[in-house]
Amino acid sequence: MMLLAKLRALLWRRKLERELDEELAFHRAMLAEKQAGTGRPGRRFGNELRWREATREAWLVAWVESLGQDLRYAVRSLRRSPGYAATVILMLALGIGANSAIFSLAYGVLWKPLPYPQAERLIDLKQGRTITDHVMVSGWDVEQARQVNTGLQNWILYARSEALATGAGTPAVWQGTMTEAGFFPMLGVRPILGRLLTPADDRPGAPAVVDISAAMWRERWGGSASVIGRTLNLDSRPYTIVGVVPESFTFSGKSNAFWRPWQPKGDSSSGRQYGALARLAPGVTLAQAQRGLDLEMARLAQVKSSDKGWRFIARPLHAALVGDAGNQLHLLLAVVALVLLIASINIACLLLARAQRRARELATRAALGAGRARIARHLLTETALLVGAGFGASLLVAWAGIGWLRAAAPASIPRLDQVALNGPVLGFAAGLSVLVGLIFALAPALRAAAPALDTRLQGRALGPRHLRGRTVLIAVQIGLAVVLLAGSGLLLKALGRMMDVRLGFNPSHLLVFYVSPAPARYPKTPDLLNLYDRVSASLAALPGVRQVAAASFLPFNGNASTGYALPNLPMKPNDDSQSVGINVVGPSYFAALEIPALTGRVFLASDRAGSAPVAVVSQSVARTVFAGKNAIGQRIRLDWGKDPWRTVVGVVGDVRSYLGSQPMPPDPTVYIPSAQTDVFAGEPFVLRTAGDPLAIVPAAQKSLQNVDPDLPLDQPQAMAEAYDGELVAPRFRGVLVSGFGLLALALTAVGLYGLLSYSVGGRRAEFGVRAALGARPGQVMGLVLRQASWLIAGGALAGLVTAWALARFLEALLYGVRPTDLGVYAGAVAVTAAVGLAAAWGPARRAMRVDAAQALREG
Amino acid sequence: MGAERDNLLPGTLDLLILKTLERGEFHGYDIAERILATSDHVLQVEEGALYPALHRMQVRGWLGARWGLSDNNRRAKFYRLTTAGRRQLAASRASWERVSLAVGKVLRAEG
Repeated sequence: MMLLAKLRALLWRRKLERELDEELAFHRAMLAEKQAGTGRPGRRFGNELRWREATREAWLVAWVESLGQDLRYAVRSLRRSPGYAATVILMLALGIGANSAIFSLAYGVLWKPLPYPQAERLIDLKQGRTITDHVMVSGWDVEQARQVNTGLQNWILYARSEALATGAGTPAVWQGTMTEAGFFPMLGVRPILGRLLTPADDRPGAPAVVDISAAMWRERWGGSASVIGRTLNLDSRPYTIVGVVPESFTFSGKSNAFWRPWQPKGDSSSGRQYGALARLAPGVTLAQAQRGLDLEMARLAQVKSSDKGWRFIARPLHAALVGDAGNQLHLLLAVVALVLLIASINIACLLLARAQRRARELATRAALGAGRARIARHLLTETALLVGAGFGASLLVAWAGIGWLRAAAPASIPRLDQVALNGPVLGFAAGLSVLVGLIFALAPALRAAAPALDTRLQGRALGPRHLRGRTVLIAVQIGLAVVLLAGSGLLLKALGRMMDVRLGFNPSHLLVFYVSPAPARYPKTPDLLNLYDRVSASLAALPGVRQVAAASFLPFNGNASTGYALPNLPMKPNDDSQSVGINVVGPSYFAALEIPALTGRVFLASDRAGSAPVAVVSQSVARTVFAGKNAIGQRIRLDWGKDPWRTVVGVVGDVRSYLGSQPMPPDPTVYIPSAQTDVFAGEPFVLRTAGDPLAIVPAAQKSLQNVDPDLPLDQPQAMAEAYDGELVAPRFRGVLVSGFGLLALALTAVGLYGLLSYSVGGRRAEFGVRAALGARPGQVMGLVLRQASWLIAGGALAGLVTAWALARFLEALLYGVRPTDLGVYAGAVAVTAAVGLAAAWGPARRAMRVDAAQALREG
Repeated sequence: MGAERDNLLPGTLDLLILKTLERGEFHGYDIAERILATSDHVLQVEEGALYPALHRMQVRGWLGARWGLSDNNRRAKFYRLTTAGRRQLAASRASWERVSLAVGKVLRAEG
């Protein structure tokens, strides 16, 4: 048996060698016996090595020859059916390619280890009161904790830093990091140029040095090596540039321009505003370190009352960076695997159909003496060729898919730069191809290799009995399509809900930007207020500007909350349950954002320092804090510096400042006039423009520089864009899953169409008989459509049940939509049924048209 | 009388092996002995030629093989003709006879 012989040579070479040895040993023993009997001296056994080689070669040559033969035969037979070959290759390319693209996304973001040495022992530290509530850490707490043995070592504190950078081209505000100088050595980063900060730069009296980012280096110094040693002024303080940090270091974020050394002062009143990193000491586990931290925090809470109830939360750095992205990616992986399953079912049906169609040809060959195994081998080679071509095509699809993902994925997905067509992705694609190839090669090959000669040779048409397996497969396909469509529907509905959220203000035609006056020139609040007044006046004079306002916080740009007190309700400084949102705003804020004033009035120019302290509250404050009583005239005091008792003069509509992942009531907010407080960060400005907000930026910039030549206009952004930024992730999810859902539906339609066509083709005789016996064309068509309907109904029902069971896994991603939303499920089933019936239409019409006489002759 | 060792072309050896196996299943040593005996000790087949030929013909599907026990209860590999092998035997034999006839004609030609 040639197949067996070949397989032996391939897989059991050693066994072959052993058998050869045994043959030789036997031969030698017989020879020895014979020579012992005759007494003649033994011949030399000949050059054993040479003819062993010759034997081995015989096996190899035969194998290579027959492989070549098989390949040529396979190519010939595939070329005779180009449609079949193209369809299979296309389905493989789409299924494997899509899976590889999503795998590369998941691998780059979730699974690929961080590029730092011993990255799994790097710990990110946050603080919180519950396990899910993460905020930055307090410097004082870290100072205490690092001196104690909690199982963590090499603590590094760092913080975001913003500084007005001068001395390097146009002055602008740069985003940067200030950090304890052990930062880079701990992460094991290497500079592109110069050197990176070391602990030596932290010593008192050490010269002020700074590292800059590669992006900034290229933009401002054209990538020249002469940047080392130049001076950069940050907030009017000189720093010497000593190194350039490579672009691949994305830990501090893409827009991070500089890193400067810094010693946190760590007084006990500093808020929670720092980031902290540490390393697990050798031999310590994360659980042990967490326990050590909990003990230390319990001790600190007794010394500092504001630490009560807080704990350190230690997470591996990888988990901290990845955050929530895992949820989304697991969803995508599941979706794309289902698509591959659907495509595979189509390929399986195609292969089975082809095997059945060629049954006659193969039966003839078998009758002429070709062995079963030989035929199986030919079919295997054909499948291998298809899978190989499919794998190649899938790489193209994967490459295109990865390119699109990198461009279209929301910026909130971390580590996107790690997503590429690299080794592991190629390996995944290859492995998937092999798996698919094996499964699909075995089934038809085994079937075709054992033909029932008589049935096929007589050429009788194959009845529906032979299609049972394929019918089940198509039903499964329909079920999967329903599942995917239901998922898409839920996600799209959630997106719709998010987009429908009433913001409480009008985000269109709004320009937001930051103004950062040099602290040296405007040291006191009145100076700042004066500056902002002049800036506002200058901007308001610009044509195309309708309103100008400044505020501490703008929607989608941050918010803050603080404690409050009422005449009969004392302040509770450390109790967060008695707090409201707070916003310090300029007088035209409400007009600029078009926030409706419901009762009373908004701030006027007369609300200044020295006049009666006033406040404006949002509707939900009136409802919750003042318990429905008329808020106008009520008094309230906020925990905001030395804020006095204020009288409420107006109630405005609620404003949402962020969307979040689940619908929530808007934050109750108290507004106080910027002119009446000392604590005013007052950096963001908002302009309501007549036309496109971004078009006004150059004019606004010049206007600012008219007031103060060193006043840059920073980070201009259209408010609509910031709002859109909240929608990017749900939109990405929705688009991707729906895209796959539609692809699945198309594949399912193709599969159903193929099955019904085949079935109708095989039943021509039956339809001919029916027509001859007087059946009307409509009745024949009805037969086929009924068959299709049963199939669709069965599959859809199974799909519905599955979708219902699986939907709860999506819960976290569904904004305002319940996973059991009946409307979506009904829609998914309806769409699938419609598409399925459309696919059945063609074969049904063909059944209707069967000519009775011709069909009877054929059958 | 010396044994003709190196004059056997591979095709001829194949033919001899096929013919020997026409009568039944034999292991490698037996095949060599039979050829030796039947040719009156003229054709001595070396192991270095025999086993490559046997394996080559097995790969090409002319011979089948199985492991069994020899007369003296040792494990040995027995070869037999397959259907394809029988066809090949007939073809090779016909070809050999045609060629040898032709060679004989050339040798007997005068002048």
